Amino acid sequence: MNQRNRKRSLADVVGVEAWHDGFSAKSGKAKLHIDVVFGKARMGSVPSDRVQFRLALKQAEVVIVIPPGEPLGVDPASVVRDAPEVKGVMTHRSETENGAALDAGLRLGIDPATLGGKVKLGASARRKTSQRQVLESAAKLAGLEVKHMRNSEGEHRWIIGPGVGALLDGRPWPSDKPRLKLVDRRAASFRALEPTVRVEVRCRREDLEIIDIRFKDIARQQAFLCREGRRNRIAAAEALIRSHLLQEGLIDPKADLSDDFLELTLADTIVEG
Amino acid sequence: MSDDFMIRLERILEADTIDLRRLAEIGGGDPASFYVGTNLDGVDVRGQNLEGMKLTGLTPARVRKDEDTQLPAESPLEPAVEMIVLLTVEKAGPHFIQGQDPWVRFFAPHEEEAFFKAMEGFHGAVIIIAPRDKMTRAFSTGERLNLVGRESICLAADPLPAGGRNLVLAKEAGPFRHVIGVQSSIFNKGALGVDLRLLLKLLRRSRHWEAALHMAPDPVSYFARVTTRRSSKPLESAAALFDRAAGMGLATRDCMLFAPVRAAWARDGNEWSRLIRPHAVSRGIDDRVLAALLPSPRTMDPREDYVADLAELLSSLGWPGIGSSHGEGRVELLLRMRSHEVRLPVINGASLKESPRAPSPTARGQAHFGNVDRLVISPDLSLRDVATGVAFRQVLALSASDLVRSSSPPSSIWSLIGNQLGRLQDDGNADALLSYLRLLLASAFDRGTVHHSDSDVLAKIAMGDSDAAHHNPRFLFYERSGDTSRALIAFLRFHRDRTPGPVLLLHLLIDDDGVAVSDEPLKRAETPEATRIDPPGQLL
Repeated sequence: MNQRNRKRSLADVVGVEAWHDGFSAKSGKAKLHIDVVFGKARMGSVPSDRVQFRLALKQAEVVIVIPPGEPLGVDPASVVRDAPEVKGVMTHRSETENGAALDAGLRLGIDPATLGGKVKLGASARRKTSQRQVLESAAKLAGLEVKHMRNSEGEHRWIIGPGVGALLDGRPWPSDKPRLKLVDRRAASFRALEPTVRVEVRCRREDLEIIDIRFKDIARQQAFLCREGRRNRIAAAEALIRSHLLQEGLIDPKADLSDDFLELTLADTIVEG
Repeated sequence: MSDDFMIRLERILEADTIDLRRLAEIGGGDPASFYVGTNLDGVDVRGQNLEGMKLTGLTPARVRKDEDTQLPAESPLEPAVEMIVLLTVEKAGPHFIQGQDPWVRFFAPHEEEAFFKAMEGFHGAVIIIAPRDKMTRAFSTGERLNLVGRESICLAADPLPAGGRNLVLAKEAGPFRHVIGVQSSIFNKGALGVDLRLLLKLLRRSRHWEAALHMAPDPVSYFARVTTRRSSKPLESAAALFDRAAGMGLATRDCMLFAPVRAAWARDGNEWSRLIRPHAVSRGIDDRVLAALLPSPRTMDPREDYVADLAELLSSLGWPGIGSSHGEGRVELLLRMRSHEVRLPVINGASLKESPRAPSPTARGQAHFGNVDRLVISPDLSLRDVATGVAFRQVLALSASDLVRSSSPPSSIWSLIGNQLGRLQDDGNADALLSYLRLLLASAFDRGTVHHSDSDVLAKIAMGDSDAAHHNPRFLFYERSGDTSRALIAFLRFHRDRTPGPVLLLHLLIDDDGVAVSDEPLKRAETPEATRIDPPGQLL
């Protein structure tokens, strides 16, 4: 798979893979499959990071980008337009495997260092399995709302919002069902090289939800919690993180940062043949 | 993350100023656009000049400001706003107005003028939350409001006779189409502010106030809600609501139910509707919140309804020997455990709270579940009261939620204790958890099933040693299969100077023979054979 998620820091927030079946020799059509999964990422996990936070999305869109000049089109009849009945199944891998004890410890604000030998990571296969079951059964219930709508560039896109709750979590659709059919517009004899098409996941600045900003150092965190005006500092920190991610993910680096509707590209991938 | 970014982040978090403009500069950003897309609810902008800054996430009613605050030029109501709410009650507080629903715009007490200005030409719902006397004096005369024909509600913050600590809805005539009476204490309690907000959301969902209030069963209705885990089964959530209603002295029969949107609700509809018996069901607003508008009490003794409905449900779930009886002031649920018939009288949960004058022997450190000689049932149980009941009265108090967590009839009281442990996870009250864990630890010590490297510390916790007060238990994991419950608990230890100490991890296994405690995950087969605790039926 050509997974080209270019923002490493966002890899836990959204992952996307896309592929298409072979173009039919007769019709020149190929089914396009997109597998996209959303999660909540914990940021600041590198030891040198002194501050950590979690990141998730309130809304995002999956866009099919056909580069100019590519002899490709989309079969409009094939585009999946309705919200599917399927509920997202989260196979979120990052936080369960290390033993929920450590994970929960972090969430409670305990310094992992003080856990010491008390937490035996991966102490038992039994425990791990049952924890995963719990997470999965919870996640199966969380559906995502999907709406198809072409954007101002005429590109096909699916806008994904949380079906329940406030944040995106899980898969909006099963990847085994094609989202649409691509059409190779060239005559059959000119189809030696397969055309390229990209899938991008984008969101707006306010769709980035930043939660649990905290110092890893407990003394600093406590000092921070005790000071007046914490909410102001948190708001400013959120704004800083948002603009940092925005600059990392801007489509046009020269864009006007005060534009309310600026879009970030969270992940993109070249569709594999 | 780059080091430069991390340094700027630290500087903001440890800045000596809370001035939003200065904070933006400290972060190396342009104050004019720095906060675009950031929600600013709850920030303190007293004395700050915010002119020229683009603050898309600032709602004036939701920030702390004073006369010196200079906000950016006032923005008109967003097109998405469907409801404007004026709070004339000072204490409404952030609990009520927090959140960022684009469909509602709140006006604080000092923004009354702005509210009336916004009302001009506004076609959505108008809501005023006012003390009843203020409402009659200033608003109902129609001087300022011409609400006839408009969808409007006044939430009168005023004690109503049947108040309790819950929302009470009363339909009244007046310039307002509807008046919802709200107990005045509501604004002092965060949870009730949340209830009120939830009610607004539910009413909005039904689009038309009148329709929503017509669906409300009686001229005076009561509002109850429970919040459950996402993974909770519908029947557990239903039982929690059923308990909550009964605790208010009401029956869920004929209620108007707002059910979660989860698919599981549709699937398991029969079971929960057998317990709640709603006369109408509407889609809720959340997958975790189950809410209901409940009618006024109709029977003489709501406990009879409670037990009769519960008995019917348990019978339909295949529990044998279920029945109910009442007479001479006693209402009892009958159930069968290992061929013994057990009678569970319905009691008032608060009655467990009062400790008897002379402390019982079990109160002096030897309290454990092995001492239990009676089971009772009570809808309005706090789990803390349950622990008190065991320690002081040798009574194990259960609620409907404790019973329905078992898919099959319990073979011993331990199965029910395992259920309660699961409820503790939902409850999230650290005090109750600690009291309950003490009893579990004492039971495990009594039974000789503590296999833990820190058993001396656990013994101290079980005895209620004063040092143990610095132990703060948290659930990391709970699982139930059949009659066996497993839990992983972390005790966070704090030294006297409040610095955190090492974490103590505890695996609990509760099967129908009792409880076992260990460092390592326990399997049922590994649990040493121990004295079987007889079902209470035999002990009665």
